[in-house]
Amino acid sequence: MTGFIRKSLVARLVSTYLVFSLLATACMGAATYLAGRAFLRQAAVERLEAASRQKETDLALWVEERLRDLNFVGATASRELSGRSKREPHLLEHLQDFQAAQPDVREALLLAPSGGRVLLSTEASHVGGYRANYHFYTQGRQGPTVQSVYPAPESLRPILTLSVPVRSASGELLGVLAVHLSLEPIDQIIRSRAGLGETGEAYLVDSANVLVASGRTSGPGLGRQAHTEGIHRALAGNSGQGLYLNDAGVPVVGVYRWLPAYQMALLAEMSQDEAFASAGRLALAIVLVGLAVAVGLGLGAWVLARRVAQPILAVTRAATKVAEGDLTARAPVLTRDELGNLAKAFNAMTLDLSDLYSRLEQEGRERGAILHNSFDGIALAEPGGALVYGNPGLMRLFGYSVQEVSSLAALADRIFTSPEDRQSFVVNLMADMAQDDPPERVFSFLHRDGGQCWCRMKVSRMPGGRVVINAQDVSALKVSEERVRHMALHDPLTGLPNRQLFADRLEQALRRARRTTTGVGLLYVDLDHFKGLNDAFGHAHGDRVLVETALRLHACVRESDTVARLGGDEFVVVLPDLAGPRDARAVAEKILEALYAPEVAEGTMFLGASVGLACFPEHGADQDTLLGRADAAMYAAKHAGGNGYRIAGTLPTV
Amino acid sequence: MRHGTSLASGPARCLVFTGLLLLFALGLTAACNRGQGPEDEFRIGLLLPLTGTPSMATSQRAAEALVARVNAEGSLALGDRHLKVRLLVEDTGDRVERAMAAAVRLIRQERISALVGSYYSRDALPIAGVAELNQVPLVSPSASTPALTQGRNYIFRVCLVDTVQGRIMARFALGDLGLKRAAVLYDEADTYSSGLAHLFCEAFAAQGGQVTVQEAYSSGTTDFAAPLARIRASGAQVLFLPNFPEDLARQLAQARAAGFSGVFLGGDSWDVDRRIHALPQAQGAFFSSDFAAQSLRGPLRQEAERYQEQIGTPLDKNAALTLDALGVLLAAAKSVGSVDPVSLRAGIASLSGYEGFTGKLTFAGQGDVVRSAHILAIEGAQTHCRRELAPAQ
Repeated sequence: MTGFIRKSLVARLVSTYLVFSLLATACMGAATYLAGRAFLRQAAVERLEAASRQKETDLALWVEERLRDLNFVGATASRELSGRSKREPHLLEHLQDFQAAQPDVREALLLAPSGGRVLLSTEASHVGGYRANYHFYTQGRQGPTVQSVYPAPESLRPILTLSVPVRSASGELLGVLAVHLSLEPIDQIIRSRAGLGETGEAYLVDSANVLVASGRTSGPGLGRQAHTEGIHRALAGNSGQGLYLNDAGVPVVGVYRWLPAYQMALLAEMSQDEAFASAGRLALAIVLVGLAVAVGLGLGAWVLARRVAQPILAVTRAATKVAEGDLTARAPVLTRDELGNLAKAFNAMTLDLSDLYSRLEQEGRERGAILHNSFDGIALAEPGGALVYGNPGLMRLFGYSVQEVSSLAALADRIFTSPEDRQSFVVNLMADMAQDDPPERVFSFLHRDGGQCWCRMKVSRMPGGRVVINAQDVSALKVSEERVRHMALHDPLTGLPNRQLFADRLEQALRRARRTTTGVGLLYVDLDHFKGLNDAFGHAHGDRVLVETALRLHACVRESDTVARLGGDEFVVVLPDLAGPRDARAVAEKILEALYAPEVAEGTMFLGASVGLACFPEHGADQDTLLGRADAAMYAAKHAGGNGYRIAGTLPTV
Repeated sequence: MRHGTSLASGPARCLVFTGLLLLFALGLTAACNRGQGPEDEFRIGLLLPLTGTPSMATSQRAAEALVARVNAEGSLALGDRHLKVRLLVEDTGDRVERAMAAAVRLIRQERISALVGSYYSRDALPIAGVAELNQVPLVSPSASTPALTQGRNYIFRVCLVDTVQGRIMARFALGDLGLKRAAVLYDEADTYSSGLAHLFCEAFAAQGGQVTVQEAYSSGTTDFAAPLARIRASGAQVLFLPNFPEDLARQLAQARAAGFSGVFLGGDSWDVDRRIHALPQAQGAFFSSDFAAQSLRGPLRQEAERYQEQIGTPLDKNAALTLDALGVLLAAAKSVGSVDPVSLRAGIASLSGYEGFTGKLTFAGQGDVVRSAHILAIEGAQTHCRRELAPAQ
């Protein structure tokens, strides 16, 4: 039920309305009941107070009447006792007549003027007894006395005693006349229910909580003890009113009065059920009407709630469809109020969403095509190195798909042969992933088809932690680069290093020689008669001679030696790691021998060469000095007729 | 859906609250005191004729001091229960109606376990009827009329019975004083006075003495000249006056004025008001009593002095008897381990050898205590113990 209320807007609205209207009805009923009760309580208390005042008055009248009777008997007694001969038997008859006439007189007695001796009594056994210490006697000697209720010593039943002095005409005290009144007649007074309603009752309780007189026909009988809040308050000497439980446990409205003259409490009570019945009825009527109104209005609330809920439910249904992916769903605009506006706004939002979705889809497709068709290899990797995506370009570049190589480490295993390369590839890329702007990496690798290729790679970080790896095939570039570099440093005709590369090689050889304290030999070779040969056989022949020279020079030296062409018919040979000038001389002689072949073979003719030799450190410490000295030595050899060599140092320095 | 939850449970809370509010508004709560005594109290009623007998205030103070002491010393231990002793004092005003109403109220409304009082036979007799009917033990400190306990099971006294007083005073007059002719003057309206007068006469005659004349008067009489003249004329050597101090003061003076020169004898009523002892006519008189302060020895004497310090006046006879009556009740409660009235009655009846201020008290199943008696002599405005008589005597 609670679940249904939580889920249904209509149920929530109706239940909330009902709860509040029931609450209002209950409060109204309670307020009516309480106000009515207070009013009725006041009315009941007034009735009870009037009744109890009446009963107190009746009680006083009864006592007064008996006292008047006693005074009358006292006057008779006075006459009888004052007579010359005391006529006590006659007086006793009077007393007996008095008792017979008044059934409430339990005993009438005449007491001696002093000592309290019982002279005459309607109770013969009491004659001769003494009442000296009774209040009714000691006070009765002074004047008419009403002794408040007390338990009679003989019967222990509560009695009320009246006493009057009996005096002679001269005022002499002749005795005390007293009557013990039984309290049953009070019952008669109390029982009359005037003003007490159906359940009302009044009763008298003496100071020992004993019920003296009661208007009841049932319940605790006379002589029984009664304890109620009202009785306790009254016996404590208070008069007032209150709500409490009576002796039978029934809630009552009670009025209590302490009657000090009788030492008794008079209580008048009425059941609260009776007293407050009309308040209850009124409250019930109000609650019933309130409930009927609440139910009626509840129905109205239900209808209203449904009307309010319908557009909301329509929007909810449309929203559910949109959530399921149907962006064509639209909420019907059923009203022109806020709910209608809500539907319109929802539809506008859905339309915008649909456009956005289409744009995003198109964009996604384009991006996908770009990736797919890119010449470069593009891969997406997790920060740990796992490959998530690789485009066809990547497959082309390395020859492997992402399905075959699931991580950078797996890729490295395939494309590198040495463990060091594999490790440095992975370590470098992982380091790049941690940087904001990592460097480009260029490396060579083994393609799946076995070819050695070059790759340029760069890692870029993406939002979310993944990285994009961009890889480019730079093999062709690398080849072209190599060719240009070779052309820049070599002689195009002979393929020998040119002057620039020669200078570089010589410098390297000198640096190593200084480090290793070895020597370097430099041979300056110039072909003899080359110009004449060129003029005689043409430039093509001259070129063939030069090519042949290059090959023969190469054949004369070690792999680590450098043969270079400085221009025209001038060649130089660098001999690194030389033990001494003697070794250089051997090479020079070997060269002279290789370059002297005057026979014509395949159009090639060697008419000898002049060679200048300079050694480090013997003939110079730097490149220029060595080259200058070797050149000078070569000229010296040329001057000496050619086809020979000269060592620097044997000539004076130029 | 937090909002939904609070909406669903909110109204439920409101309804409960409203229900409580309505219940409260109906105001159906009403306490009803049934007048039952609390379980942890030993409630004792004390009936005293405070109005008209100022000297009884000493007894009241002594009783309150004893109860305060018991409560201060850790209450009354009954097995594992500790009961506070609560004393409910009512003034009888020396009027029968008031005493009756007070007794009934104490028994029925205050639910006392036992009653101490009253002191005078004249109101103790009707009260004994109430106590007996309601089966509440009554221990009278000083009501000495034999009728008090006769035919009753719940009535006890700690004082001497008048039969014993009459007998020992008759024997004292004949034996110790050697006087053979005695007269009595008594209040015929007073139970104690008339009863003791007749018992003395019976005993005196039975022991060989001659009662020359028995003169009666009624309460309220102030002129005793006529009966005293007759007494003097009868040649009585001893005048027995079992009367209360108010009458006694007049009688002693008027007797001497009438020319009576014999010895005055009296009963325990002579000890009610000590001012009698200071009268010049009272010097040389003897009376029977339950209590002789001078004969207290040892710890009892120290106890009596402690009480004297506490209440600011020496213990008199009635105060001592009051303490003994209360002591008997407490001892009985301890011996039976209960303060239920029926058990208490059994406890008192079987109490034996209780060391009281007025002597060793034993009930031996009877309402009348078996105890020693004293005959006190008035000399120099003081009382002196002339004889102490063991119970057997």
